[in-house]
Amino acid sequence: MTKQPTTMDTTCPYCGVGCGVSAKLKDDRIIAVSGGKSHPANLGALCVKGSALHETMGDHGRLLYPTIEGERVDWPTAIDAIASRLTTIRETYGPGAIAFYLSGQLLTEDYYVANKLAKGFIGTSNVDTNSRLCMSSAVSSYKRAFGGDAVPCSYEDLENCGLLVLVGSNAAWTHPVLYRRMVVAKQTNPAMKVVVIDPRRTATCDIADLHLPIAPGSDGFLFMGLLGWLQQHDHVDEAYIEQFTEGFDPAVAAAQQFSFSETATQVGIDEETLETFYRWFAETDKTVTFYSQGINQSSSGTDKGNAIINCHLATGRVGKVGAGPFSITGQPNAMGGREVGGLANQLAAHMEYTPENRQTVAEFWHTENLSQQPGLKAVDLFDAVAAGTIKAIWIMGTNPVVSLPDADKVRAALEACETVIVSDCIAQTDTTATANILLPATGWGEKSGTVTNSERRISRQRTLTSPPGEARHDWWILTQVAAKLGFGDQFTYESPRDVFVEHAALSGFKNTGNRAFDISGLSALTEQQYDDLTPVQWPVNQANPQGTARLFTDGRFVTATGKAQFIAVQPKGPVQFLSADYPLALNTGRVRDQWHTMTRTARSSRLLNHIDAPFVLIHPHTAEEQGLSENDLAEVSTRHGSVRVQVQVDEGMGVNQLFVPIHWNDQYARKARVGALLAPITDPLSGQPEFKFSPAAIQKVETPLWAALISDRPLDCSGFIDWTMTPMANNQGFHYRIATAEHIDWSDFINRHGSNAEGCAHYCDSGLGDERFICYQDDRVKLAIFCHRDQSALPSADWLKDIFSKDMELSPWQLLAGRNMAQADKGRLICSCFEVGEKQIVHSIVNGTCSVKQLGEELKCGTNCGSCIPELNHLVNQTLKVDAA
Amino acid sequence: MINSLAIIGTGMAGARLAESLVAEGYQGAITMIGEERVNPYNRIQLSSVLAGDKTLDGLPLLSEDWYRTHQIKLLSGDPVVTLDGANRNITTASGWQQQFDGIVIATGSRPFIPSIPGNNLPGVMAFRTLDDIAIMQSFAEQGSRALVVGGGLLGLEAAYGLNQLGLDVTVIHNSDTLMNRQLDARAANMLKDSLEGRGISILTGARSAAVTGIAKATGLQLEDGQWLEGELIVFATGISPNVDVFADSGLQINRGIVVDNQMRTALPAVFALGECAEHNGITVGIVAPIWDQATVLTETLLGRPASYHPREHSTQLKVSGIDVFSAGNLKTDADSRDIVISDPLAGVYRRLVIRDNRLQAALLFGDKSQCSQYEALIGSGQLLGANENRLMFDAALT
Repeated sequence: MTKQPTTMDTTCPYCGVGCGVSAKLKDDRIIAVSGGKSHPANLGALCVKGSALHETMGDHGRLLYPTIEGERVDWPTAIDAIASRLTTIRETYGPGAIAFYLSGQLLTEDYYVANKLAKGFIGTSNVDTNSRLCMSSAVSSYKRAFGGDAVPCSYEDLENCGLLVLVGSNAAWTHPVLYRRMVVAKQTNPAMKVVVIDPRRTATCDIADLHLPIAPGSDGFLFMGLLGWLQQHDHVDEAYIEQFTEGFDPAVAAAQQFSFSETATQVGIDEETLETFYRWFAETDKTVTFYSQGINQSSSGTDKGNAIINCHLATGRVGKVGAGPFSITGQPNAMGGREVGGLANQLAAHMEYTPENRQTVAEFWHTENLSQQPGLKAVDLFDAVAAGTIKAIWIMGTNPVVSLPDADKVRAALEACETVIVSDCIAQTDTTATANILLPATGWGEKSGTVTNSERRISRQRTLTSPPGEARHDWWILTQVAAKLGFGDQFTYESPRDVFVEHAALSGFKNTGNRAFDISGLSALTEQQYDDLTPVQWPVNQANPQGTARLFTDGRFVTATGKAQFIAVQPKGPVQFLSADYPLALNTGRVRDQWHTMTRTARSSRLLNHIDAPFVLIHPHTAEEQGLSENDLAEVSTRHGSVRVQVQVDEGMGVNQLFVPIHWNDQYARKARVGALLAPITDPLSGQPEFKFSPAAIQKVETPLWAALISDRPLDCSGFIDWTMTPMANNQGFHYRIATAEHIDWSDFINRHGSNAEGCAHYCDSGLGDERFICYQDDRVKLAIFCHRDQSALPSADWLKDIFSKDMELSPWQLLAGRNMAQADKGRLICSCFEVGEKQIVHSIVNGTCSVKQLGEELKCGTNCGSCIPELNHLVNQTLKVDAA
Repeated sequence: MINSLAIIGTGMAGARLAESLVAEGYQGAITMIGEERVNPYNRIQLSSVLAGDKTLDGLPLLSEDWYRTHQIKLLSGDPVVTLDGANRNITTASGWQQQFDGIVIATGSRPFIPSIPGNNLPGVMAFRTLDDIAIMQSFAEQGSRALVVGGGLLGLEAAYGLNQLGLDVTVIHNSDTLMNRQLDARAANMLKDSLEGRGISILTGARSAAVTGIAKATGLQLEDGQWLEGELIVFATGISPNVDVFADSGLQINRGIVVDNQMRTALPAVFALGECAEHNGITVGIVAPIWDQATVLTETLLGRPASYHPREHSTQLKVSGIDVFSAGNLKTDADSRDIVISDPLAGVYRRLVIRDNRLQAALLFGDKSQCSQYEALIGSGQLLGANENRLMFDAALT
């Protein structure tokens, strides 16, 4: 055992950028992380989430051993139980009664074994993945246009382009490292233009030369309008169209159904601005259209993708340096899942369910059980669970009770399902609560395998520390179950490398160039070579042994005819309409410092300092119309459900639009699962739900009293009007913000929570509902409660965490003051890296700092990961504006 | 013009007035005549001396030198027995007689001992003078049991002092809560716990019926039939103005000698201050208002305009290690705002009563920090503004 720190390269487990991470290790712990300097995705940079990875480690809150119906069991018992339940169900109801719901956070090797076991040996095609929610529309549109699920671009194209069109992407917050690359590219090449297309004015608009706040869901009209305009103004590349594409005429005919001014009306943009965008697109050969969930999460997401691709085909801008339609995924291994065939409509290795492909795969896998036809996509799959036609579902590494639309129905379906198996790292999630069998899986830093990022680059995630408790790798668990089911001969894997080389071999098996995904060049890797694998972009085969930066550079596609396909898209708006009862358009998305359902990111208290509670963004006019003010508690409701969130008035919002983040769930808030609001409306081709548009209403919730609490143990807050919670590092403490009715009996609350604190200092002000408690033991605060009618009178979370984390420096009763008079409150955290708060920044600006650069020199904010620079810019502009007024 | 002034009484009020007159440049002759055989001393410190927390050295209010330097004639141990108010002529017990231009009466008060059987038995006493300390100390040497009747400020200080002397002490208090004029029930209970924690027994809601004993006190019979053994029985059941001797002097006397805002009695050039004086129907029993009265009377005697207006004053219990501070009126109703802090484990209880944005009362138990600021705020009636909300933690108003 070495005592000297060692360094190991791995890959970040968050978004689809797939950054390299260099981890410093000591005594089986990760003591620091930094951006992998040689990794082509990030070249040493790392966003704030990635920078906090080491803070998310530790055994607390982890699932440590298998359980069956809540009882601890050993692994052999758990494996036996799974095998026996699956066998019974398969024999009684057929293989289709068994479903797998996988995740873009699984490693490719785990994914491959799950897919092989399910589709190849159990014989069910009901295998889908949370990637369905993320980029399946992008997959469908690539397949329609190019004949395969193949992203043609490389990240370098973002730097080499002359025009960057960001559509439905708040990259500044969701893909911060790519956003930094864009910022630097624009600084290096001032001629480069950036257009942001988003109903919201987001942090990403910071670099926009043009922001098109289009009507929600009108992207299809915008890009079909662009195709028509390009044709009308002779900006199409006729030679390219002629030589390499098919279907241009019907596509153009569809595009020209609407006049330019009709399009402008439809998308809600004035004609001059719209023409500027169209003209820039027409004039700039090196154009990248960078799109994400704003396009994909739509009832016509596939069409929207094709509307974008149409414009690139019409101008011949595919497979060229600095040009292409570039879909960015939200998960670290959405691409890997696509490659192994983890989606219900795929078989394996970019093969669809054709008789020929079935034969190929059956032959490769030596199986007679291969599933027959495409299975149920996520929303339909959980409907089948609800209907009882699926009897057993195995959920790996994902949290569908939070993330799926109509999420309350999903929860009810799982609660009613006879066998719910959940493999996860985290003990308590909204989904593990529904499990019959719980399996502790290894997480990032413990498991080993590969992931593929948004530019098709395969990178290694490596084992850095020992897994806690009895946690096991998913591929190992699946292999054990496969053996128990009698398929041991075909599941002889002893390491991730064994899985990977088989997967690589299958990608090349009978691949005559008709499948873009081909990594046969990696099918002979030794353990050592696999361990040492450096990031490489597929295809990796005999023709391209070093990988491939761009696809379709020669204009040859993987369609039946070898030609790319234009799609005659009929642009559509969202399926649902606004009504008198639901007059507002609800949009959803991510925030900067959280990821997915917070199971990992909420383990870093630093990441919770940026935004610590769920909220709704609303335009000032709409807020006024709805009788709402900043920080009011509001209930946002749709026909399907409701959430309680705090109002944030935001001029960047469109009028009559709302935005609620996707992350919060029952672990961190009373009622903030945005999934519960969303209709299970999906794209007919991709099955991807419409997350970005829901008719909604908003209403103020009366909050007679507010309270801020810090506790050494989780508190049962179910009786309150509302609560949100943020855990401190290592679960050493829990910070709550509570809204409650009048006449709350806090003493009773304290007694019920069995705090072992011996002392309790109490402050009570009859006039203001102002009540405060410091419960303490031996110089340490165990529970603090501050309650007041006025939310702004409560002490900051920072201060509470501070007094909780150290020996009391004042008498307990003096702490009841709720603030240390001497120490200024630094305000909401803006720079997570250097822990610089809003008040500090504003103070500095007021005192003469007038640029982000100077702020960096003075306070260091924004000088590490840079994720906060858009907000710093905003603060500088805002503060100077107010100052001048 | 008052060229000769007699101050009847050598207690704290008289001494304070003399000192103040000298300081303000009074040029006439001052004669002080008193019952106690010692020079004026700080009576407030007696309980601390009894408890051994302070020594006798610190007691005298003014030095011998001071009387000499300013030619103050001091007649100790010779009480005035007759006052001819109209002629400002006084006669002392020794027969000494003199007429003065002006007379100030500062005879203070006498302990009030309830008229129950046996209240004159040896062993029954009050606690007011230096002599009383000597008596108590002699009981302590005999290892007696002490019963203190009265759980007000003075009774508790006496009990604490006796306890410090090693006596086995029980406090008998007729109200249900200790110091019921200054404390609310909660603070009183904490005080009871603290004192009991020091080995002092406390009986509340207990009324004494008789002192038992024939040749000397042997104990106290309570109205509820309970008998308590004790050879030393200290009554701290209040005071009454020491004015009997002036019954025929021509002064207007109710409970005390009636004075106006300038501390003048009904007779020309006769004044009164301190516990023997009654202003607007009120007699005082603590030192702070007497300081105000002395200031006003000094001005009056110097022919300068001044007027006495009673203020709220604070009370502090002088029991080492038990911080108790009370000021103002703790009465609350729908229009008042009550801010309360309590920490039973730490023995801290603090309460502020605010009315119309002004501090009306402060009760601090266990931690008196900022008590003088609170007292000033109560006294001045200053508007608190927005500081009302943080007053408990920060009394400094800017």
